[in-house]
Amino acid sequence: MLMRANMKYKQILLVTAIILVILVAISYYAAITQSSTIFQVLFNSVFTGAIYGLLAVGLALIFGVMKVINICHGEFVLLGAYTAFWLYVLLGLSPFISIFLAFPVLFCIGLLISKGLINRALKYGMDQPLLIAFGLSLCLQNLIKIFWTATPRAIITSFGTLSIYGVTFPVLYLLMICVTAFMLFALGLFLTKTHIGRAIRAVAMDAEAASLMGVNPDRINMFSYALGAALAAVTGTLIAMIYPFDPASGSMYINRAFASIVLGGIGYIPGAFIGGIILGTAEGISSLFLGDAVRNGVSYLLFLIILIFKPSGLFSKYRTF
Amino acid sequence: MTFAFLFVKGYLFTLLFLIYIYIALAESWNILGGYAGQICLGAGAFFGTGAYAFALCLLDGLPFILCLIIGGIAALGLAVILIPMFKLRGIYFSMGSLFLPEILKSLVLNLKSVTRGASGLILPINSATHTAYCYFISLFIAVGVTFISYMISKSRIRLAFEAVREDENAAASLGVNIVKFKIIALLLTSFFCGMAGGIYAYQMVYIEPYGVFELSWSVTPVFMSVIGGVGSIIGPLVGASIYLFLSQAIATSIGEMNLLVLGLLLIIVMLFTPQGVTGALRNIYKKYFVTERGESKS
Repeated sequence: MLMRANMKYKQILLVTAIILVILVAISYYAAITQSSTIFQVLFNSVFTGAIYGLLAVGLALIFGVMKVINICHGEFVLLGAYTAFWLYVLLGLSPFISIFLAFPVLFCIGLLISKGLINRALKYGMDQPLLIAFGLSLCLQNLIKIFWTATPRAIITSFGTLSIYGVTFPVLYLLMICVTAFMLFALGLFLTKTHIGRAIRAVAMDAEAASLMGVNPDRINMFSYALGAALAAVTGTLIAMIYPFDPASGSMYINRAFASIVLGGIGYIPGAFIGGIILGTAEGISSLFLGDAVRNGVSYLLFLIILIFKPSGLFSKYRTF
Repeated sequence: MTFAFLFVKGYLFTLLFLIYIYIALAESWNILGGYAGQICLGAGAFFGTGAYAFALCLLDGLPFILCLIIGGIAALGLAVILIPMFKLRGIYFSMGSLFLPEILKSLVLNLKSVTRGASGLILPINSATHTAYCYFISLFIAVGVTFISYMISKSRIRLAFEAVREDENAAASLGVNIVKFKIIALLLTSFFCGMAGGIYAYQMVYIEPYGVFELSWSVTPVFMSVIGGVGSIIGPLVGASIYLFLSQAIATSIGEMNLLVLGLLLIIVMLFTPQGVTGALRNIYKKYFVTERGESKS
């Protein structure tokens, strides 16, 4: 217990140190060039990274428990986004309110999918669940296209902005950061303090040992899959407010989420979130210097570099789930 | 059947050409995904790279066969990027290959000076020999891949592939160099996918990034092999025929939604007969026509 607390402390120290170093470097750059663009870009990209991180947390949760990469995660994001969009268009509900609807809806969909499809295929091996998730992703993508057409959609909200030292902070982004922080905090509490959360962690560590202790791994698989899907839906409602989306954009989000969890060390939840922030920052900064066209390639490049030099991820030392 | 194109123009020619392309894709995917057990979800990247490399070389005036081989080699070069993912379990490779077509599409769209971006490339063709070339070369590629697949299935390499597929740790402990065999499988697959892409580009005359890097080129090889039954020679052939039939039937009834049907079928097959159609047939045969001792029931 003591050792674990010690590790957490070291980890927090390390992350803080890295962030401080980056901040100092960037302020130095800003002082030389006499502009606040870099701060603006940094804020925006850290914010984007937090969104990727929230997405990656859901994916990491599912991977940690079921050892399956949920390829249809991007489509869950889209389902959340479309829920928010239609509630906004038809009822005029703010996407922040439709989170409360998107969460339970996708939770139920996730329960059904894992009960009916993924759990059944788990007994065959590793490849079958992967291919089922792939098939599911194709199905959902085309169902979305049938029901809601391929027109790109976006929700336009106006929350105004705050301006501090020449850097513009849209209030929307700040609200979204609050939602993200709340979700992560709630997830952390859930995983550490409740009975079912502890069972999820037990199954993630060793499914057989957990089942000997009276945990039903099938039920835990279902629950964590549903939770991952619901987290994706929450991310989707947030994404709907900042980026336009269409039925094909799901692959972009699964791409980012997977790169984030590889960065953070696969199967380690806080690592996934930090990986998301690193990825978002890298994307923002590289597109500032090299143009927006590189944005797509950055996540892939980072993913490759990590796989070549540190395949177990940046924070693999602290892997405790 | 070989000379079918001589007396049938149009539809049947296209059908035969497509089935050869599909067989080539399915059989080559089967080497990596079936024998070696590494699920590649981005075969479209090899296909598209082959198509673009072929088109660019043909525009430069290189001879046809050389262009085709360069198409294959370009796809092979692309496959080298994926090698680091073999250091870890199969899932990294699957995911890494899944994103590759998307990345390449944006690369091709942005390298306007070389690839002319979204406006695509028009290939110079000789209309007198176009049909014959397409037909025979696609047939040749399909037969070639099937032959190589057959050679592998009879050789020692197949045993190594299967050892890698079934249990990497056990294979490594018995002295099988797992990374080496995964790389061999990947290189074979990418080379033939690239060549198939090249001949497809030649047949289409005009290529553009959204067409050749389309998701369906990554999905169909997986679909065909898995539906037919992975890890055998006959499986991908059956799968390619089923897919051709389905895609033609779907195209005339529900049009664009073919990926929905493919996804559903993939899920159904994976849930109920993970060995595919040929595997299911074999099981039925064993159940009803073969006794427990292995003798056939009369």
